[in-house]
Amino acid sequence: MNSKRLILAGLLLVVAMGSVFANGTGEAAAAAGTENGGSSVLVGDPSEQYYMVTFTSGQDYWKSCYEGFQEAGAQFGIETQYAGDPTPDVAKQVTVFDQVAARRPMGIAVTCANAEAMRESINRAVADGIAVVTFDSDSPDSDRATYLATGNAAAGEEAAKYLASIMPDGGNVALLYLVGAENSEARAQGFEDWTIANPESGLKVVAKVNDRGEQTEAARNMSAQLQADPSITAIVCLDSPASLAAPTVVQEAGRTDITIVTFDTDTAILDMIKNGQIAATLAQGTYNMGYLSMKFLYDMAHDLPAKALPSYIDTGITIVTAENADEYYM
Amino acid sequence: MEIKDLGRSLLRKRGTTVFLIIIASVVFVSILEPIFLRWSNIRSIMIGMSSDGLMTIAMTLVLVLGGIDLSVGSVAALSCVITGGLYLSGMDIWLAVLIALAVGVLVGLFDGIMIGKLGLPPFIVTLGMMSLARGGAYIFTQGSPLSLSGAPESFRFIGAGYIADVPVFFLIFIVLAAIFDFLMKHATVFRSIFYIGSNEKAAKLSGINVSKVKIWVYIVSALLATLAGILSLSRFNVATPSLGSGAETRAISAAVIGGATMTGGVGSVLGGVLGVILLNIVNSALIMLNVSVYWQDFVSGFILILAVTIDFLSHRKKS
Repeated sequence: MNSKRLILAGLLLVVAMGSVFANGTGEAAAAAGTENGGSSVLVGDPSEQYYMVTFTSGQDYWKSCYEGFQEAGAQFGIETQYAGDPTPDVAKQVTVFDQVAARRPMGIAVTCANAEAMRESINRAVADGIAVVTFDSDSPDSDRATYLATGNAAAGEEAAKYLASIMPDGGNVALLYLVGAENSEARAQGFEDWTIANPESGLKVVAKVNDRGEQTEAARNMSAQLQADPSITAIVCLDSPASLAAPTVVQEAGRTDITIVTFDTDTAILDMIKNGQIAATLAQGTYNMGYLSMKFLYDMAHDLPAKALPSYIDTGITIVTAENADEYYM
Repeated sequence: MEIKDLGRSLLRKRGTTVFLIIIASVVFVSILEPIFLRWSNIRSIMIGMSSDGLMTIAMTLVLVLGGIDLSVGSVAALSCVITGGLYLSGMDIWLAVLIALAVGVLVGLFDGIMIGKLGLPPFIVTLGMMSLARGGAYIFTQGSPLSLSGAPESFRFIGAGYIADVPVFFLIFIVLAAIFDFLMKHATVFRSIFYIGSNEKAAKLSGINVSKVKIWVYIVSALLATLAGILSLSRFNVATPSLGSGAETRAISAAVIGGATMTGGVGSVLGGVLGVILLNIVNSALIMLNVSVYWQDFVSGFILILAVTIDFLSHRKKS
């Protein structure tokens, strides 16, 4: 019986390790050919590793970032890896980042679930000679070299401007998002600030609803909010779980007068735009974030003039509607 | 029996206190905000609790057995993406549902054998399964939600349809809750779950096949979670690998509020249902009463601790 238990325990461990591998580091990018073998600083060594680290790993939002990262890496002929934790948990992201840094890669591009919580880990990595840039969500007090993002507050502002353009008479808006997540909070703040600064738009934030990072919770809470305040005529979803839940909530409430604007370009969101359930989604320059992050990391790791690095790069925003949704399918 | 005795006997029942707290909450919120009792709001609370409700039935069974199942939310996600993924690959949706249910049986069988036959701790086994199933859902979808636009109406009906303006999802939950509550009270094989949860050694000595019962309970638990995932897919028309994150803690809360204990041998499906109703009413009430989004978790936690304390103290006093 004991030997049976041991064998089964061993099997379990192997399966668990497989699971961890699947959740943790993702696929390695194929290194591009390096026929010039180091004759130019713009051709790296295939053994050089560069990581992208995110929270809520696996979302299409980060996939698009990593696509840019990977393609830039292939141009330099180096190896890229993706790592992250599937949850928005700050502590878990710190752990993943520390584990990645312990492998001593040449560079890490990281998006921070929390600015302050990531600061120490980033500083340690930089002190160990690892090039670090932040993208999408910053850790401004850390020693990271630069920050590449659309700026979540600016993205929130753009969402408000767009909503005002399609709702010329204004309306009451509910913001649905993961309360406490820095990127969502900044988007919410940007949206609300714009509506306050532009009262002539007629847009007013009447409710902030917590989606708790999960679509069933998002639906439950948004549904209750619609019951509590039937004057709501627009829902702005500031993250992916919210975006996937809102159309169902509106349908279940039997409302046809509610405009939904979302963030991110998950395939399911694009489908909902095409079938008219969602008016538009905001695509932050995710590909650019990844592509430029890799470029800067490579420059720093190869002692190219780092002083030329700007402290902030704006990677732009696109409004995706039924007209241009096809371009965003991955 | 006199009305006075009937009243006493009812009060002695664990669920009665929770029921009274629910009534008091509804009356309180309705006075402050009368639209709380509007049918459309009740309907939205019904559909909102259905997925958690199915997982609460599952959790009540395993808690009474003296175990725990931390994998319910992840298993729901796995079944959701398996059904969605197979349908998108061209398979008939109902065949995809059957395959997802079969995977649910295998998951439960695995948990059951590990816990029932090998004697591994349920907490660790189901914690591992929580990661395995969630990891499987991420691998299966490569992280992206799968859109099911064009799914057959017959499939949409089970999660998004209505019978007499009552959500079908909720009806399925309530019917299953009634069946399991009845079985837990009257069927010999289900009664043995209580015996095992109270005293496993004595149950074994009295001739109950403990490992077999454990295996069956974990299979039933995984199947209920699988059903929650399939019905959520039908409701949202999107297969999301992150579905059900944190659902296990909500199911545990609901079951414990309803009288189940973490040490086994005590609990009822009816109590679990009352627990999930209370959780959802509190959630809806906080939004109805316009409590700031930053205060909601705090107030919700406070009310739940208060509810459990009142229930515990009144029960202790009576017994």
